[in-house]
Amino acid sequence: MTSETPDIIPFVSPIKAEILTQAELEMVKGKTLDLLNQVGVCFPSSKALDVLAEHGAQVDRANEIARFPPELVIKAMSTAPRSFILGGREERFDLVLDGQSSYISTDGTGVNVIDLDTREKRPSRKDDIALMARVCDALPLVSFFWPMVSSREYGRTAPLHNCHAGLINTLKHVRGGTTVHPRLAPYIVEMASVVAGNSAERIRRPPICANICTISPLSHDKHGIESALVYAEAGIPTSFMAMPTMGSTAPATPLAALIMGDAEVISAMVLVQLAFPGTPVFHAVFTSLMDPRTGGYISEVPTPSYIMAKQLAHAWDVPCLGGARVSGDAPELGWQSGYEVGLGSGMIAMAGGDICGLLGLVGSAMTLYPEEVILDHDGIFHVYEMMNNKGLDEIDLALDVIREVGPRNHFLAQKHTREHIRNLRLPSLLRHRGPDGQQRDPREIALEKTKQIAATHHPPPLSSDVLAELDRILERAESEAERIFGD
Amino acid sequence: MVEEMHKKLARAVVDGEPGDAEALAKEALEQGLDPLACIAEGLAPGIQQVGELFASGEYFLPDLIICADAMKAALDILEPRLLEDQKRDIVGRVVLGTVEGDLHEIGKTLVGTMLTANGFDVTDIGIDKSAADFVDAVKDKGATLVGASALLTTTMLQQGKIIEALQEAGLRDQIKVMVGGAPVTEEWASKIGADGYAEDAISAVALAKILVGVQ
Ligand code: B1M
Repeated sequence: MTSETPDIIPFVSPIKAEILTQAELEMVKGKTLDLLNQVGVCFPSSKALDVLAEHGAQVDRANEIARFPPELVIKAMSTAPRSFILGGREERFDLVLDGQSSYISTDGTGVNVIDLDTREKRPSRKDDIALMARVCDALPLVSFFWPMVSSREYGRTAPLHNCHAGLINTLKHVRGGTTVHPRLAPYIVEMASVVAGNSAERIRRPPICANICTISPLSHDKHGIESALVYAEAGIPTSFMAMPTMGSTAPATPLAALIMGDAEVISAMVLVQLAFPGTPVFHAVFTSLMDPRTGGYISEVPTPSYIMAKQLAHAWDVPCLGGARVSGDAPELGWQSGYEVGLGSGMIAMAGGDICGLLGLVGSAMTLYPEEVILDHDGIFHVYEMMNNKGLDEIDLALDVIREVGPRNHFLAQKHTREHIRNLRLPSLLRHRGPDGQQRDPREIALEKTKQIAATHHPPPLSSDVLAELDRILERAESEAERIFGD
Repeated sequence: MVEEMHKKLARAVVDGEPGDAEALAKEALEQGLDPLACIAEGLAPGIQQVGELFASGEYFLPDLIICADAMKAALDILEPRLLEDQKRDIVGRVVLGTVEGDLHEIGKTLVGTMLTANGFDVTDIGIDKSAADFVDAVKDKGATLVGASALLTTTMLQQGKIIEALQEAGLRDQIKVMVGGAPVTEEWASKIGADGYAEDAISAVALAKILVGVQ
C-alpha cells in the first residue's frame, strides 16, 4: 500500500549551461591540487591528522595543517562514488544521484519564524519543522527535506531534534546530519538505522544525509570534521559545503573564491575517502559576496559562480549540491523574494545540480514564512513546465485546424482548442479573483493553501515501536549532552 | 616642512598604505617633529576624510579597514613618544570574541572595527573562545566591557556561561557585557543577565557608549 503523498518530480531540463570549458575545468582542478599541496588546509583534529599522516599527507602538527601530494588526492578521490541513492521512506521517494535529474531541496536552517497564525516573528521551534515537513511532503517538486529551521527550545541538542522532526513527518529524504559535538553524531546515525530498519538497509538506502561546512579560508571545524568521520563510517552521505564570501573570507574574484572553496571541500573528501573508501560524498561550494558597505551577507552574486561550482563537482566525478538557490537575501516576502525565485528557478534549469533549489527561506537563510514554500514551489513548477512542455508529445501540429480557421478569424470555437487548452498548466497561485472581482494577492492564496495542507495532509506515521525507539535515542543523547557540556 | 609632513601622513591614511604611514611616522620623529601634532594635524584629518568618503559611499568597508590599519601603523610609532599628559583618551577597553564552539568570525570582526573607529581600545580574542578565555583577557587588559558574539542556537548558551564565569571571578560588578549575533535577541540578553544586545555593528557602538557611560 502506498501513501497519499504524491510522487516526486525530478527536475529534468534539456539545457545545461557550460560556463567553464573542459580545459578551464582542468586548469581549476590543477590549481586546487596546487593549493592543497603548497598551502594546505587546517584540520584542528588530531584524529583527522592521524588518518592523513598515515596515508602520506604532510602533516604540520604544531599548526594543524595538512598538505596533500597531488597523487594522494587523485587516489583518494577515485574511491568516491559518482552515483548513489538517498533513500526515502518508500522506494518511490529514493533519489538517484546519477547526474540525469536535479532534485529540489528546501533551505535550512533558519532561526526565526513568521508564525502561521499570529503572523508575528518569533524564534523557531521543533513543531515548525514538523509542520514544514508535512507541507513539503505534499509538494511534488520538493524531493529532499532539509529541516528548514532550528528546534531552538532544545539548545545544544537542537540538531538532533531537527533530524527527528524531519524523519517522523515526511516520507522524503531528510538532511538530518550536521555539525554537532562528535559524541552526539552517533545518535543521529542510530536514528537513521532505526528508521531504515537496520544498518545494512541504512547503508543501502540511507534515510538521511549530512552537511558539514568548511571554514573559509582553508580550514575545517574540529567538531564538523570529526562528525563527518562518524557519518562516513556509517555510510551516511555527506555534503561538504564551502561558503567562501568574496571580500571577507575569500578573495574578491569569483574563480579564486571557487578554487579556494574547492580545495576545502576536496580536502575533506580526501580525508573521509582515506578513512572509509567508497563512502558517499557530495560537493558544494556556495560563493557569496560581502556587502561592501555593511559587511552583510549577499548570496545573489552577479557571477555564474553556482553553475561553475556544479561543473567543478562533476569534473571531480562526484554529485553536486548546488548550482542554483531560490532562497535569497530579501528581508521579507515581497518583490525581492519573488525576483529571487524567478532567478533561482531559471538557474535550476540551467545548472543541473544533483540536489539544488534550496527553497523557502528569506533573509539569507534566517527566516521562515511557512507559505513561502508554496510560492517558491509554484515558481519552480512554472520553469519546470517551460522546460518540459514543448507540445510535441503527440506530434500534434494541428495543421488541419490552422487550415480550417485560415487567415483572420479566431480559434475560440475550435474543438481542438477546447481539448488542449487545459494541458497548459498555469501557475496555480496567479490570476485568482476574489468575490469583488479583483485579482487576489498570491501570498494570501499561498497562506490558505499552507493552512489547508497543514490541516489535511498527514503522511503515515512510523510504527509505534520505531517512534518509541527514536524517543529513547533522544533521551540518551540528552544525557550525553549533559555529560559533555555539564549543563 | 612640518605642514608637508602632516599632509603626507594624512595622505598615507587616505590611500590606505600602512607601510608608508609607518615610514613617515619614523621619519617625522627623526626630524624632531611633535608626535602630538603629527597625530592631530596629520592622521586625524586623514581618518576623518576616510570616514566622510565611507559615508558618501565612495569608500567601501575594505577601504575603511585598510585605512584604519595605516592609521594604526603610524600611531604605534608616534604614541609611545607622547608625554604622559598628551595620551589619547580611550573611550573604553573592550574584550571581544566569538564564543566557544562557534567559528563565525565576520560579524564579530566588524563590530570590533566599528568600536575601534569610535575610539574604543579593542582586544579581539578571536573565535571559538571559552568563558575562561574571556575572563583571562578581561583581567589581562583591564577591560570594562565584554562583547560576546554567537551565531548558532547551539552556542548562544555559551554567552550565559561567560556571565557566570565573570561572576565567579568576582568581576561582574566592574564590567558590562554586551551580546549579539544572528539568533540573539533582546529577550535572550535579558534572560542570561547581559547588560545589552545590539543587532548590528552600528548599534553595537551606540550601545557600547551607553554601557561605558560616555553617552
Ligand atoms: C558583542 O556584541 C555584538 C553585537 C552585535 C553583533 C555581534 C556581537 N556579533 C554579531 N553582531 C551583529 O553585528 C554584525 C555586523 O552587522 C552582524 O553579524 P553577522 O555575523 O550576523 O553578519 C555578518 C556581517 C555577515 N554574516 C555572516 O558572516 C554569517 C552568514 C551565514 C550565512 C553563515 C556563514 C557565512 C558561515 N557559516 Co553558518 N552561517 C550562518 C549565517 C546566516 C546569516 N544569514 O546570518 C548561520 C549562522 N550558520 C549556521 C550553521 C548551521 C552553521 N554555520 C557553519 C559554518 C559557517 C561558515 C564557516 C561556512 C560561514 C562562516 C565563515 C566565517 N569565517 O565567519 C557551521 C558551524 C560552524 C561553527 N562551529 O561555528 C554550521 C553548523 C553549518 C554546518 N552544518 O556545518 C546557521 C545557524 C542555524 C542555527 N540554528 O543556529 C545559519 C543561520 C545559516 C543557516 N541558515 O543554516 C550582527 O549579527
